[in-house]
Formats: sequence, structure tokens, C-alpha cells
Amino acid sequence: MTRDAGATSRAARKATRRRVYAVDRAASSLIRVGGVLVIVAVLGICAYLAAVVVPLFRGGSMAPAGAGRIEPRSGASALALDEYAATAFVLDSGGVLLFMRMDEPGVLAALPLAHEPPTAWSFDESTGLAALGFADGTVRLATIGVSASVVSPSEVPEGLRRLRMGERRVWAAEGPEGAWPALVESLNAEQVRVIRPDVQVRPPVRIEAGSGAIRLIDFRRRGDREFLALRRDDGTATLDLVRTIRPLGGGTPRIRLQSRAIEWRAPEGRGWPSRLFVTGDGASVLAAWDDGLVQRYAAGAGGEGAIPLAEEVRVLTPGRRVTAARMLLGGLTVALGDDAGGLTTAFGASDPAAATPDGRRLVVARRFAVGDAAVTSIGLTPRTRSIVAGDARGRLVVLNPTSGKTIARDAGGGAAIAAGALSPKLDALAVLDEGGGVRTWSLDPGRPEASLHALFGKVHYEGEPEPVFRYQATSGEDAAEEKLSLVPLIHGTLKATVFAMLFAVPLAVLAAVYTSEFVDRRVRALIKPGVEMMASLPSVVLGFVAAIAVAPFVRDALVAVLLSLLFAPLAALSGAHLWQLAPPHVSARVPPRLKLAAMVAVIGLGIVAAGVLAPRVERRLFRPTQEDRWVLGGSVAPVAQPPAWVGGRRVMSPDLERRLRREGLYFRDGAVVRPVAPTTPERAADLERRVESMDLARPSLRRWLDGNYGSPRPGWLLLLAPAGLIVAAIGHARVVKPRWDAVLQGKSWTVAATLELARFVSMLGVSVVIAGGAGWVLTGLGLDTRDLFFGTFNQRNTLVVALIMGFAIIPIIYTISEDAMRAVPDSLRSASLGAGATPWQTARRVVLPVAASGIFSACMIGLGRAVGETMIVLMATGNTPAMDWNIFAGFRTLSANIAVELPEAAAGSTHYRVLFLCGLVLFAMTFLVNSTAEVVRQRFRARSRAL
Amino acid sequence: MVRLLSAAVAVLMLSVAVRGQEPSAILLDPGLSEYAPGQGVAGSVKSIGSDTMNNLMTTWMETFRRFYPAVTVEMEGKGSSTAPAALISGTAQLGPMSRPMKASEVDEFEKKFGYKPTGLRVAIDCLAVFVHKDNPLRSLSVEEVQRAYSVAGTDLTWDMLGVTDPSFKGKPVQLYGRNSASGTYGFFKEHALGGKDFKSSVKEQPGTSAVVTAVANDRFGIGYGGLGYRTAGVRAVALAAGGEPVEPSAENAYSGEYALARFLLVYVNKSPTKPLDPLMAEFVRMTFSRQGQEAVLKNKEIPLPAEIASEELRSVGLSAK
Repeated sequence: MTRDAGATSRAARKATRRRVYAVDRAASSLIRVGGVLVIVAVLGICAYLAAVVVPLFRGGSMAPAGAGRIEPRSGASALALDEYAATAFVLDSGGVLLFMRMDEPGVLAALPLAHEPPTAWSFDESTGLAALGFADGTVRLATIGVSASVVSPSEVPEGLRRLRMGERRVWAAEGPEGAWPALVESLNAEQVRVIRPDVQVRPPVRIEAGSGAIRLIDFRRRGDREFLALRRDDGTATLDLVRTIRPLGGGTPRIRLQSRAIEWRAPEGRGWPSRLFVTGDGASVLAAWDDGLVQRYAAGAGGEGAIPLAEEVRVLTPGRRVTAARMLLGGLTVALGDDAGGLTTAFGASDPAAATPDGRRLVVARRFAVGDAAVTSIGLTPRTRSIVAGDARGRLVVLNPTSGKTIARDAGGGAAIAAGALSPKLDALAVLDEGGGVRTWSLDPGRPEASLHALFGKVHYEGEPEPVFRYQATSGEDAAEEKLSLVPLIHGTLKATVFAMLFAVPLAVLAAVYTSEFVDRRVRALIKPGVEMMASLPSVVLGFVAAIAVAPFVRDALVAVLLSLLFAPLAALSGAHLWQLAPPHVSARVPPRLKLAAMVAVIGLGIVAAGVLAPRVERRLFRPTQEDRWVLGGSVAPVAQPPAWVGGRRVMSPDLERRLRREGLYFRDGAVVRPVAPTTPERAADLERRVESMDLARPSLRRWLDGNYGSPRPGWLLLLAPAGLIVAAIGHARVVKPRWDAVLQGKSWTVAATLELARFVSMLGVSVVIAGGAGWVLTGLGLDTRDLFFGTFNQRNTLVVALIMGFAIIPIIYTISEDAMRAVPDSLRSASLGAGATPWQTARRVVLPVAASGIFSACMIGLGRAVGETMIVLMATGNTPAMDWNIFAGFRTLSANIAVELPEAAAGSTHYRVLFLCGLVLFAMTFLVNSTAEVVRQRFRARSRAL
Repeated sequence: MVRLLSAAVAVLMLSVAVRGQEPSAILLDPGLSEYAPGQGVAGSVKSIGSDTMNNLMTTWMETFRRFYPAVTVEMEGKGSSTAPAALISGTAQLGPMSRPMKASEVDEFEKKFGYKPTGLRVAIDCLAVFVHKDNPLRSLSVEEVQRAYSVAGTDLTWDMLGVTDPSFKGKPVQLYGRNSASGTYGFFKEHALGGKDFKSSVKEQPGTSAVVTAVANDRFGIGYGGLGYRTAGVRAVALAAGGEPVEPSAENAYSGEYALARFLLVYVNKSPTKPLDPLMAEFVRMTFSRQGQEAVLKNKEIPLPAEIASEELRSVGLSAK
């Protein structure tokens, strides 16, 4: 400003005003744009996540592609498509294989697999293996498939070299191709694909056992094992196991054959079953009757002898009849279609309590409704779990039995469906009706495995006795069911957050109170930057430290670590009470830094005390009870009537053994027993001597956590000690303190301080009594901490994560809370102190309520950080997607899951989209936390404004 | 980061391993031919895939660079499941995998190129089950492994697996395994667990060396991984698959008796109508030569017999020079 205009002159004021306005307008629009951009960015991320996730929930669709007619000579039996959905095979029940193309259905070629029609047949989609049984007792196996090769156009005849994209032409069955015609399609200018049938018929095998025609047959292959179950006219039934060992060093495969008879025990008043299945693991043989009764024979129970009957289960609701039955992909689940349009799946589940020879039982998993007419066919695809069911009115439903999702439907209206099949890539389907009509569709499957139920609900997976939450997205093979429940991951995220916050919030907030209200400026200048420095450590480093250093340390000094969590604050409190013993003129002269050093030393002393006392505490608390010792010493008596849930168990896991122990019973050498006191003092002494030398009887927290022995009481004591302390403190403040103050009145400083110390010690005693009493009551109610928050110790566990993640979030919470408290006007503080309140009373009754909104925000920001924290949990836990609250076990969080699995997820796949859904759920969780926090904060703020 | 950690752990393990284990008694098949470098080879080779094969690929890359100093090499080993994506997008020419590609992965490749990817069997590996060196357990049956690791079994304690040592009685079996991106995870799930799910209590480690370290640090631990990663802190147990227990060893892998022996694979993008480009051709030829299989031996894996080596070379239209 060159003009010397007075600040009060009109012109100068106007000029300044205009500029200020301009700057103001610019600033406010800039801020507005910035704000809008932030909102747009957040919404944009959210929209992008949603856009990737939404297709998960979309259904599929099907569109007709072709129709035609074939003449199966004696009824169709199986239908299969090749992986390019170019051709289809029909195996008719006369044993003739018909080869046709998908776009213009019609027979291209026919091949009889044998000279005579088979008396029984089976077909397995996943391997393309057909098994045919004959009247003379021979079995023939045929592998049915296509071979596709990509060649240059010059290798095919002239007329087939220039095809339009997507066009397929038949390459006549001449020349080197032999009897089979091939289909040719163009891929690009330099490559054509030639698809030709590839059928290998193995030489017939004569079955030695029994006589007469083979009436039922089922064949399955998995890896290097093949299973063949059959029944002959004379009633002989056998299961053959063939194991082929292929030397990796080259040479001819060796074959090991085992043949076992099945010990038929037909149900009362019934003839032979109408269907026979062997499961893909060779462990069970299933026989089904038309009314839905299924017998399971246990081949997996071990031994070489005859296979015994394990159980008999009615799979269908009474009154319904089986009209179609198939073993689904993987060969473990049997699907039965009935005459009322229902489809029921059942499989063998391992259940140790089952009273069967192999500890499994057949469970009915799910029931679907196809329509109101009889289900006449169930068609599969060789690669995924989806199926196509057709009924007597020509209706079709494509569905995924695991997720329960209906992919597509066709109202039909024609003849009954005789056979159906889905293509391997799930992009086409074909059906054959009773009249020989063939119809094909192109299929858009959508995401068959994903549904709201599969992602957030309990799903009854194959082999499970009941529905469970499970996350296991990756499998070794395509046929596996995908387990995509996000619930274990959400649980893991919550578990990590809760335990980290439990550790971090009290420490950080109390530290903030301490530095803002109690200490000297100089000490604060030392502590605050120090704590803030902690925030500068990258979480990767923290994770690394947690995994490499902290985890093994916690493992080796578990009791000491747990005790010091209790002892360190106690030491600080005791130190404070001892400090009061010093006369005021002495204590006032101690420099603040020395005071801080003394406090650190006292806390250090507490930790040392925890370390020293740990072995004693462990010996005293975590040891076998008298009954445990009797059982260990072998002083037991058998129990005539064990609890019903024990069932046929011959082994028992530690948690079940504990359950048994709650009823005063034990499990020893496969039987339920009850402890008996030794009859004579000599015997008792002898028993004690023997038990003393046993490793299993040595007091140890780890053993106690494993549930090997011990009463639940010490666990409750440990868990409830902090709560007991809080209850005792509150009780003292409410009940004892007012009277106590009267007692202290007029006493000298030293006497008053001594009496205060006595009150503190008595309060500690009361808190132990409260914790012990509560523990006694809870134990009496049959509750055990080892079922809730404690359990088997894992080296990578929640405790370690809570300590280290607490370390990561303490600085944020501390620094924001501290600032919030410093922002409380000094006038309030001065008024309080001036009215005679102590600094602690001022902090608690004045500063904390006023600063509550800021402290709450601090905690919420810390919470947000804990929810999204990835590296620490990734490295310091085993990433186990389990559903427990055991503080000594790991977990898997949503964020760690994304980090671990994203590199392997193919872009656009279901797995990939599920990982994005994890991101979206995480987003929703933090959004929810922050919104709640904001509402609560506003409420606090309104209250403090009123102050 | 996971890679960094596993690399750090790998270095650690390697230094331990040098002090460990018995000398290898496996010999190279004399039928393997000497590698003769070709002419005019230049460019860059990139490999993305298996973590199990990390060391092996590194050694091969080094050997290759000795023959062709002008060639630049690059590699990443986060897990077999990362190989198909890299081959499809063309970010790598080599996709090492410790399990065969799944049909869905082949489909993705075929969708882009029209033909299927070519998997070359480059070495043999025994997937071993490891226990802590203090664990007296000598052998397990495949069924016991299944009971321990899969959801079909209950939570086990060591005495339930036949360990009679009193300090192991009542001690829960601590399960360690690989992360799901690894081919070892998939192979183990398919062949040891019969396709059943892993228990949710299996602690996933980012690399085989991390699994071995974890078991070496946990007396009650059990883990699985390539036999080549065995150290002095752990012991590989014999496995019985419906017969006598079989030790994981070269002989038992060659004969096929060891239930979890497998081929390690390298997938390449080979068009059936065109020959491999000279750089890839030379790399593949080197892999199947005596020098290449010596590298396999150096990494404590099991070399191929000459018969399979020449079979694999033929499958990509090459022959040993």
C-alpha cells in the first residue's frame, strides 16, 4: 500500500473490504469444492465397490439355442456335453453311444459299446466314465469324451479353412480320422479347433463273486482310486477298490485290487433296492428303495471283511416315491427326485457321537421344489455343483444345491424329460425328452455359488452334521463346494477390535488425564512427543515385532504377562498410597521429573513382582483338583449310565471331556468313569506319590487352558479380578468413604495417610473376595471361562495382537484426548480448584465431562483404525477364520482376508467379487461406527455447552 | 510384505538348513544331456507363481544368466494361484506351479488364446508332513492326517495320534499350513484331505519356510510343505496310505509309493501352430538338461529321470541338443 490512507478512511475501508470479500468468496468456494470432492470420492469408492459386488446377487438366464430329434433305440440313460458345448453324447440303455452336435441336434455317429445290451449301467460326469454290467457277469468301463486340438487351417480340408467366427462344420468321417466325424471351428486367421469324439472302451472284466446278470452297478473314480459297487442276480453284492500307483520316475503303473463283499441285510418285507451308489471317497455304499428308504453300508470302517450295514434312513417324506436319483458331483451327496416335484439331498456326515461302525451318519441336507410333477431327471456338470432338474411336464430348473440359488427356469410344457446335462463351463444345457426330442439352451449362469444365504447365513455343507458358518474360498479342485460365509471374518474383525480397544482405551485416556491435569509442563513436554513418536512406527514393523519377538515372549512368560496386566496398575495405585505417607513438606519439594521416574520405577517393580510371583501363582491356581488326581492315579469306578450325548464316542476332544467333567465324570481309555476316593490312607499316599511324578499332573496354565484338568474357578478369578477391583472401588466410594472421612477428620497427616493405606489394602482384599465369590457362583452355574474367553493357547493369538495393536492406536487416542482436555478453559479448572477440590476431583467431575466429546471422538478414531488394521493382524495371527472368543487363539479379519487372497483371485470371478464384498462390509462397519460416534459426540457436546 | 517376510524367513532358514540334514544320496540320471547354449538369444525372462519353487526358479535363472549374460531375468513367487493370471495377462512367460492348473484357470487361458496352456513337469517334490524334532512320532496314516487337518475330524490331542510320550499327553495338535494362494495348499487339500475342508484352526503361513519355522518353534505343532524346506528343527514323518508307512524320499517318490509325491510344473504359453520363441526354447531346454536338473538337486528337490525330461521336451516341440 503506497497511498498513505488512514485505516479509518472510507476509501481504504472499501478497498480492503472488496479484497477480503474476494478472498472470502474464493476460500469458501474452494472449501466447498474440496468438501464436495471428498464426498464424491467416498461415494465413488462406495459405488465402485457396489458395482463389483452387485453381480454376485444376480440370477442367471437361459435362451433356446437349438432343437432336434434323435432316435435312441431303447430309451436314453445318460447325457453329457463337451467343454466347448459343441457336441453332446447320449448313452442309450441299449449300450449304444450317440454323438450329436449342439447347434443342430441330430445324430452324427453311433457306436455300440458292446455286442449286447447291458443289464445295468452308470455314468459319472466328472470323469466321463461309463460302467456297463452284462448278463454274463462281465463289466465294461468306457471313458467318454472329446479331444480338441488347435491346428493351422492348412491341416484341414479346403472347404473348412474359411469359416465364419462361431460357425461349426462337420469334417466328414474319412481319411485319418477313422470312423468318427469331427467338428471344425475357426478361432482366428491362423488357428482352427478340431473337436472329435474320444471314446476308450476297456476290455471286459469278469466278476468272480456270485453268479447271474449284474442288476445294479455304480462306478466312481477319484484321484488314483476307483470304486466299483455292484449287485448280481443271485444277491451277491461287492465293492471293488482299485488303486493305481503311477511311478513318478517313469514305468508302468502298478495296480492294487481289493474286493470286499457287502453284507446285505434287506429291510423287513422288501426286495432288492432299486438303486445302488458308492460314494466318491469309497467309504460308503448306499442302497435306495423307491419309497425313499436308504441303507448305508460302511466300507470305511476299516478291515478286509464283509462291509456291514451302518444305518437305515428314510430320506423322503412318507408317501413320496423316488422317481430320479443321482450322485452329485464329488460323489458324496445323493440327490433324490420324487413324484411330488421335490428334490432332496443327503450325505454322510462325520459325527463322533453316531452309533455307527464308522462314526458317520447319513443326514438329509436340503429339500427343493422343482414343480408339482414328478422329477424325472437330474443332470450335472463335470466342474461345478450346479444341477439341472427336469420333470414329467418338461419343466426345467437349474439350481445350485449348496447356495440354494435358482439360476434359471424353463416352464417347459412338452414331454417328460428323460435326461439333462449342463456344459462344463456352465454356458449351455441340453435335455432329451421321452419322445427323443432334443432341446439345447445357451446359459448365463450368473454367480451360482453366491447368495445372501451363502454369504451371511449358516449353510449345510457336504459332510457336516449341521449347518455352519464357514469361510474357505479356495479349493484344490473345481468340484469342491465354495464356502463363502463372511460371518467368521466379521467376527474376527470385531474380536480384534474389542480386545485391542479394551487394552488401549483405558491406558490412553488415563495417560491423557495424567499429562493434561497432573504433571508439570516440563514432564508433559517429555511424555507427549514420546507417545506421538509411537504413532510413527509403520504397522508392518509392529506386525513383524509382534510375530517374531512378542509372540514367543508371551508364549514363554504367559502367566507373568497376564499377571503384569493386573499388577502394573495395582503397583501404581499402591505407590500413590505409599507416597501419601511422606509429609507434605517433603513430597512438595521433589522435582517433577524425579516423581515421574519414581512412578516408572514403581510400575516396573509391579511387573517384576508379576514375573517373580508367576511360578507360584501358576502352581497354586492352575493345578489338578483332588478328583483329577484320583482319576490320574487310576482310582476310578465305571459308570453304568453315561450321559446320552456321549453316544458311541470312543475318543473325546478336550472340550467335550471338560463338559463331561462338569457332571463330575471323566473319560478314560474309551469309557466314561467316575473318580473314587482311595479307601485306605496307604493307598491314598501311594496314589499321591505316583501322581506327583506324572507330567500330566504338573500345575501349568497351558495344561489348564488345554482343559486337561482343573476347576474353572481360577479362570474366573483371573478374568473377574479387574471387575472385582472396580466394584470394590465404587462400593468403597459410595459406602465407606463418607464415614471414613469423618474418621480421618482431625488426625495428623501421617496417621491419616496410614489409615488411607489400610483402607486401600482392605479394598484389595474385598475385590479378591468379590471376584472369587462371583467365580464360585459362575462355576456352580456350570460356566467355564475355557468355553468363553480362554482356551487352548496358540502362539499367534489375540492377546499378542491386542498388545501390539493397542500400541498402534494408543498414540491417536492419547493425543486427541489430551488436546481435548487441554482445550477445557482454565477458568473452570481454577474455579474447581479454588472451591477446594483436589486435582483428581477436578479432572473427574469438571474436565472429563467437558472434554467428553473430544475423548469420545478420539476413541472412535482409534476404533476406526483398529477395525481397518491389516498388517499387524495379518502377521501376528494365524489368520484362522474361526468363530470363538478365545483370547489365546487367532482370528481372521476382513482386511487381512483381502490382503491374503486378492493376489490369487481371478478378476471378475466369484471369489474376487466376494473380496470386494469384504471391502464393502468393512466400509459399512466403519461408516456405522463413525455415524454412531458423531451422534453420541453431538450429544456430549450439547451437554458440555450447557456447562 | 508377506513376500518380504517370507524372504527374510527363507534367508534365516537357509542358514539353518546348511547346518542341518543328511547328505543327499540321490543321483542324476546319466541319460540327461549336457546343455549346449544356442545362438542369438536375448530379451528378458519373467516368472510369476509358486512360492515352493522360488529357490528352484532362482537357481535356474542364475544358471541361465551364466549362459546368456545379456538376458535379464525377473521373478515373483507369491503362490501357484498367481501364475495363471500372470500367463494370461502376459506379464510373465513362465508360470511355476506346485499343483496342476484347475479347469477354471485353463478355461480363462483358453478364452484368450484359443488353445490350452502347456504344463511342463520340471522336477519332483515330496510334500512332507513335519513335526517338531522333539516329537517322538515316526509315522502317520493318510487317514490320521485327514482327521488332524480336515473338518471331518474332531480337535485332536497328540496321544490320539499315538504319541505315548507323557509330555505330549492331552496336548492339542497345533496345526500349521500354507495360505490359500499356494499350490501346496491345494495339493494337500486334494490329496491328503481327500478334498475335505481345512479346519478353521489351521494357522496359515505365507511360505513353506514360515511353516517349517513355526513348527520348529512349537513343540506341539504339525505342518506340511515341500521336503526341500526341511531343517534341523523339524522332522518329516513317514506316511501310510493303506499299507506300510513310507518315508518321504527320492526312491519312494520315483516308485510312486509315497502318497504325497508330486511333479513341480512350469506352465508356458505355447501355441500349437507356432514354435516356442528362441529365448523360451533355450530356457526350457536348459531346465531339462543335466545342468538344469543339477540345480534341482542343489535345492534338495528330486531330479527328473531322462525319460520324462525328453518326453516333456517333445511336448513343446523341442529336443535335447
